[in-house]
Amino acid sequence: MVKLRLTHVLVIGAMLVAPVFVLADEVIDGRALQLRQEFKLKQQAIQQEAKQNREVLMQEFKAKRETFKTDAQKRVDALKKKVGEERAKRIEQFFNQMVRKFENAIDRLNNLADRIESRLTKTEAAGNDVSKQRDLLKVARDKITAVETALGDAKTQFGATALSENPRTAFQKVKELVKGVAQKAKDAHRALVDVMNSIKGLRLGDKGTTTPSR
Amino acid sequence: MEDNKNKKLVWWVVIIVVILIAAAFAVYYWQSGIYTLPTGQGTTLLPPSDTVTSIEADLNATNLNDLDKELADIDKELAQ
Repeated sequence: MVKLRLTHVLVIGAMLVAPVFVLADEVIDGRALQLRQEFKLKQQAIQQEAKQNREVLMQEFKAKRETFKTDAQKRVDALKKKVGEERAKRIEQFFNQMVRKFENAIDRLNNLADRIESRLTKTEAAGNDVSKQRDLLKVARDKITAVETALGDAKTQFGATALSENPRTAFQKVKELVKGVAQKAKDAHRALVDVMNSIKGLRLGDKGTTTPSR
Repeated sequence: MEDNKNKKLVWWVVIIVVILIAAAFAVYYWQSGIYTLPTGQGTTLLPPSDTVTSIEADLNATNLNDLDKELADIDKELAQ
């Protein structure tokens, strides 16, 4: 009799307590969902801000590239007084040729970074966590920016060489800076390779297979 | 009269089939990235793909050697 009562009490107790657990579970689920959404929104805002900053920086770099091109004649005029017109023109031509190659390389690296970002956005939309890859991409983007900044410094120094009393000696500083730019470009490339290796290392779940990392 | 109607119907069917084939080709070329978009400076290919394979291929094809080889030429000019 006592056994039967105890069973009744336990069953009734379980029936009374069960909705509390279900409700608590739903509240926790709801709160977790809300937190996830808030985090996602914050992340999107940060990404948007970074994109805008990058665009502003790109415009600045573009303007500086144009200024360097338009100042070419001034440099030739200054340098021809020391090395003669023909040589001054050839030097300007060689330097511009090299600058163009560097700028093309920077544009290519930026383009690759944009494509990687697009891939990450799609992978994230498929439900995968790509925060580590985004951090690595930020490192790579910073390195690409460093290449453009260093190239700007080398161009400024080249302008100073044209005005210098001893262009040959002044050019040694340009050489040093340009070699630094070349090394920075390789570092940026290496950083992009690291992002790609990290993406390949992602273990995409069921959701991830809907946007395969081909 | 009936024969004339049938002929017209056949022509309509032929025209619709031709349009469908042309549309299918257009979609195929558009999606494969062969189609070119007109821009202010001639034509350009559609944006490159963002698949891991294509990004990796372009990353590997990026040659950063000899970017500064003109330095030696400038040095020679200045040394004269």
